[in-house]
Amino acid sequence: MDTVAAKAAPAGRPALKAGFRPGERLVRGLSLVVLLLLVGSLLLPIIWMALAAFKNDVDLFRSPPPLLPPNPTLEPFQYLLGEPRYLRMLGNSYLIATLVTLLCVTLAFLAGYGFSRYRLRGGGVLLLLTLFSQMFPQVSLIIPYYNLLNALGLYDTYLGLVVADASFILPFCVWMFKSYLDSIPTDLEEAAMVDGASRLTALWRVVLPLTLPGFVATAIYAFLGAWNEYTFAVILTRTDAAAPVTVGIGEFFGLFTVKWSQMSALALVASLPLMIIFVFLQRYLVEGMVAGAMKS
Amino acid sequence: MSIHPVALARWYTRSRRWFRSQGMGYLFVAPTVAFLLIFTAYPLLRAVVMSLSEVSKKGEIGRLIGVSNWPLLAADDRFLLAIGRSLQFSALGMLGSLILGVMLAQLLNQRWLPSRLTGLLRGLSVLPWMFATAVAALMWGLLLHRDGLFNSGLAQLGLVERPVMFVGNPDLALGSLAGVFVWRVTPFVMVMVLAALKSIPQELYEAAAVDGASRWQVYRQITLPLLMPLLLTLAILSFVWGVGQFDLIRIITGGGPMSATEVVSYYIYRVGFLTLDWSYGSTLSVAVFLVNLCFAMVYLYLSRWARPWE
Repeated sequence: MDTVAAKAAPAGRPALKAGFRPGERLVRGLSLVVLLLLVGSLLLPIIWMALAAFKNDVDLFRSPPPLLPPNPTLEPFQYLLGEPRYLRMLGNSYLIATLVTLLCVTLAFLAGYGFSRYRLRGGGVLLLLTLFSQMFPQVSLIIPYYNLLNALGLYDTYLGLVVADASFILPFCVWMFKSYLDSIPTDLEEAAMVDGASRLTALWRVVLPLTLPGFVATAIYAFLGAWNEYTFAVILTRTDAAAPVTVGIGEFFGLFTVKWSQMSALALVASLPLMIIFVFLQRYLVEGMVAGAMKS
Repeated sequence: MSIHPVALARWYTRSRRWFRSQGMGYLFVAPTVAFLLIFTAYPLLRAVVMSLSEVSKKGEIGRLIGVSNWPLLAADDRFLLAIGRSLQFSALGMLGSLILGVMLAQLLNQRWLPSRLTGLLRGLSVLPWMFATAVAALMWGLLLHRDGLFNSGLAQLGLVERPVMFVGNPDLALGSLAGVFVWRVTPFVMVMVLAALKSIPQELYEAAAVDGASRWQVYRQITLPLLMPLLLTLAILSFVWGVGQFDLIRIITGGGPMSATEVVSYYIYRVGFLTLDWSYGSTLSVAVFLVNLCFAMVYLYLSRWARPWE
C-alpha cells in the first residue's frame, strides 16, 4: 500500500506542482470540459434569444431546430421601428435609469462618506435598518407607493418611477460606498486638511478621485437595477408616457399569440447597450459588489 | 438675565468642535436618510398600518381593526399552500445556485488555467445576472416552449415521445421556474465565492501540500471552513430573494397552471390587485416579512457558529 502511495505522490514534491502525476492530465481535461459546459449552459438562453430575433415564426419552433436562422430576416426589427411606442419606452428606460443612477450615486457617496468617516450615533442601526427594509415583499409596497405617488402627483410620471426605483437601489449603494471608502486610508485627506484645505475641498479634490472605481461600480449597479425593474414599472404607470421598455417586453406575454421574434428583437435592442457597458466595466461592478456584500 | 461672554465663547467653541467631529457627518448622511424616510420607511409603515385597519378599494386607510386579520391567516389554506410553494421554490433555487456557483468558482480558480481564459469565462458567465427579469422570462420561454429547443432536443435524442410541458404541467412548473431562478442567481454566487477563494492565503495550501494532504482533505479542512461564512450569507440572500421573487412568476406562469406556481408573493398580489383586499394583503406581507426576519435571525446565530475562531 505504502509503496503505491509513495509512487503516486513522490515525497518532497509539492502536490500543487504535480503536473505530471498520472491522472492529473485527465483531471485537468475533465475539469476544463465541465467548466466549458457550465459556462455554455449559462450562455445558451442568451444566444438562443439573440438568434430568435432574426428568425421567422416558422423556423422558430421547428424540429429539429435550425441552429442559425435559415432565412435570416430583419422583419422583427422593422416591426419595432413601425411602432413608435417601443422607441418611446426605450427612451423612457434610458431617462429613468440615468436619473436613478445620478440620484443614487450622489446621495450614496455623501452618505457613505458620512458613515465611513464619522462615528455617528445610531449609524450602525440605521445601516442595518436599510438592509432589513429589503426583506419586505416588494409587491406589498406597491399600494403604499401608489398612494404616496398619487398624493405627490407623481403617479404615471418618470419622476415617480425614479424615486420608487431609487428607494430600492439606494441602500445597497450606500453599503458599497461605505465599504469602498473604508478601504481608502484617511491619511491623505487629513494631510490635505492640515495643509489648510477645508473638509469639502479635501472631499472634492482628494477623496473623489480615489473613489472613482467605487463610483463606476455603484453607477452600474444602480443603472442595471433601474433598467431591469419591472414590478413597480408595470403598476405605477398607466400610459406609454413613462413606461420603460421592460413593460413593453412583458406586455407581449399577455397577448393570445406571443410574437416571439418581435419580442426577442425588442429584448435584444434593449439589452445590447447594457451588455456592452457590462463587458467593459463589469470588473468594477464585481469588485464593488464583492466589497459591499462581504462587509455586510 | 444675561449670558456671560466667556460662557458664550465656550459654548461656541464646543459646538464648533462637535460640528467638526460629528455634526458634519450627520449633514452628509441627512439627504439619504430623508429620502429613505419618505420613500422607504413611510410606505413600509403604511403597509403595516394597512394590515391593522380597514382599507378602501383605492387603498385609503379607514378604521383601525387591530390584529383581527391575523387569525384569518392560520385558516387560509391558500396562503399556507403558497408559503409551502415559496419555501420549495426558494430551497430549490438556493441549493441549485449554491452548488452550481461554487462548482463554477472552483473550476475557474484552478491556477493552471491561463488567466486570460478564466477572465473571459468569468466575464461571460456573469452575463445572466444583468438581464431584466422580463428578458429572462422571454429567453426561457423560447427554450421551454412545447416546441422549443429543450423539447426538440429531447425528441431528437429519443428521450421523450410527447413534448414535455415544462410550464404547462402543474408537477413541473414550479421546478422549471426555480431553474430559471438558479440561472439568474448562479453568476452572483460564483463571483462572490471566487473572490473568497482568491482571498485564501496561498501559504495554507502550500503548508497542506508539504504535510501530504490529499485534495479532498485540503478541501474539507481548509477551503470549506473558510468559505462557510460566505456560503451562509449567500444561502440566506438567495433564499430571501427566492421568497420575494414575483415578476418572474407573474410573467411566465401568472401563478398557474392550477395555482401550481402561486407562491406567496404572487398570492399577495392576487389578494391585493384582484380581490382589492388591501388590508388582508398587507397582513400577508407583514407575515412574509416576519418569516424572512426569522431566517435572518437564524443566519445571525449560525454566522457566529460558522466562525469558531472568533
